[in-house]
Amino acid sequence: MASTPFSKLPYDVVLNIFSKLEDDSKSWACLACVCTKFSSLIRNTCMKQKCSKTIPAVCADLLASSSAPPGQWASLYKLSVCCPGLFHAGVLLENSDFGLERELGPDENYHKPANFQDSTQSTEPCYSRTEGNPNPNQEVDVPGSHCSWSLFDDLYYDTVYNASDSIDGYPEQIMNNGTTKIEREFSVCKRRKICRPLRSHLASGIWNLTRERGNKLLASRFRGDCLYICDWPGCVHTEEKRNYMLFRGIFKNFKNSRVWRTINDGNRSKIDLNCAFCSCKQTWDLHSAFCLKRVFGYHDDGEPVVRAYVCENGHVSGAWTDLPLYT
Amino acid sequence: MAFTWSKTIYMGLDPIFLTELSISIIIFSTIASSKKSRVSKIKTADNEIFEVEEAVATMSNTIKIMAGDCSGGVIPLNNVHSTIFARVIEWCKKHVDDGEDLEYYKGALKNCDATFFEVDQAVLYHLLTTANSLDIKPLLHQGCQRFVDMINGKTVEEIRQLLHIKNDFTNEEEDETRKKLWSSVVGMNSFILL
Repeated sequence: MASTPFSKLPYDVVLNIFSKLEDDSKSWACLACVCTKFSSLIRNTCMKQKCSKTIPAVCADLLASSSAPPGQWASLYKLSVCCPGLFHAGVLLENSDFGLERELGPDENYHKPANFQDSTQSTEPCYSRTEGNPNPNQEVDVPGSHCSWSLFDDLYYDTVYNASDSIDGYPEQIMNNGTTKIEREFSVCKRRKICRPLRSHLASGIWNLTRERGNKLLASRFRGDCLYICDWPGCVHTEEKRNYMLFRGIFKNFKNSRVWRTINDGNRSKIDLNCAFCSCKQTWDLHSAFCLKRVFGYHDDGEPVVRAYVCENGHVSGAWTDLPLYT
Repeated sequence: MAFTWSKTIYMGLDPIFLTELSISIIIFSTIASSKKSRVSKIKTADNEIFEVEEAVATMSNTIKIMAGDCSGGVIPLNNVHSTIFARVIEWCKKHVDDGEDLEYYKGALKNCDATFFEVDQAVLYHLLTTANSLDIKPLLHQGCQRFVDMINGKTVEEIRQLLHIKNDFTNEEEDETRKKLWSSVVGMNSFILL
């Protein structure tokens, strides 16, 4: 960092200042984006201390096998405070349209949700990705969403933020793109805009992670694996069809776990659903890999009662749709 | 005893009475001298000498330790300038009776303290650095709290401008990843907060 008055402050004074914001995740997130020195301090020291305070058992377990948790302390901190959102919990994936494709036939315009992750530097909002698409029917509002912000917008505005742009002006710009609203019940076109409530966000509810909860999720032959999951009900998302109780968790020593061996030996393919907590671009579906308790079953429309996805680092994102049968 | 028994007998005074009297005088003078506050002499980096009440000066653990080593002499502070030291002493005089328990200082800065910390950034930095080097925990705590109040609620760019910090994230991809990871923590209106 260039020589500024702030750079002359002793390290422990800066740490003292940052520690006073430990209950304010947003401030830490902002500070981590200011410069490399702040980023390093927040991620490697502040977050480590906070995790050790709030989830000491998890930290102790994770550190038993390595000097830092997988994905580093920042990922663990984010996992402890953030809900993965419907998107990263896999609720918006193809199988979430249960029965719809059977009724309406295959969707030619279907694009995997991973496309929304592309953060191109286009000056257009995310509709620029529709160029060349002959189908003009673009869904504007996502069912159940309450805003029109997307991750791309955040990145775009952060890069070229102009103080004269008003918040109110922006949504109008989207609506004037000539897009068509489609009735909410049928998401024929999967090219939906991913909105804030569907993405990862600060979780509501208790932020504790327990191994006991993890044991109740996994099939009994994996009882030797150590999976920490947040307490029931996690972060509750009320959607049209049903409620989703989103949870997140982490495996201790994932690459030595039986779940990993099952996935690996079974040569399970990954899906293009990136992890909410680290930079892994793909994850495995634990439900289709038969790692979850079979007893949970499906709803009448084919939706599984519980789904969960795990990344290479052992971060788990998932969603319950009902009370677990054991409660 | 400063006088001999022979003298007292010669003067016709009862030696026992005189002994008791002298003991009383010694005791009273000891009490009197402790009530008169001891003054610490402190010399700052620019050779200015401050005479400060010991109780005030020893709010700094560093000065307390150095006073023990100097045994009554002038305590040299080679890293502290007189203007900053004067401010520090001003703060210490206000809080000399408040004790060291940080619980007392928790929460928002009270009025007089809030005014005390309404200073230029440069002065604030010096106050923080001095409070740290002189080990005055409550002052450091309040100074850091003032800093927190300054940066709380600000966007990333506003923080950079406030603290005159340059964005030195060179790897664009790392920048993207960082934003992807953190925009979800920052929340819905992240374009304001970021």
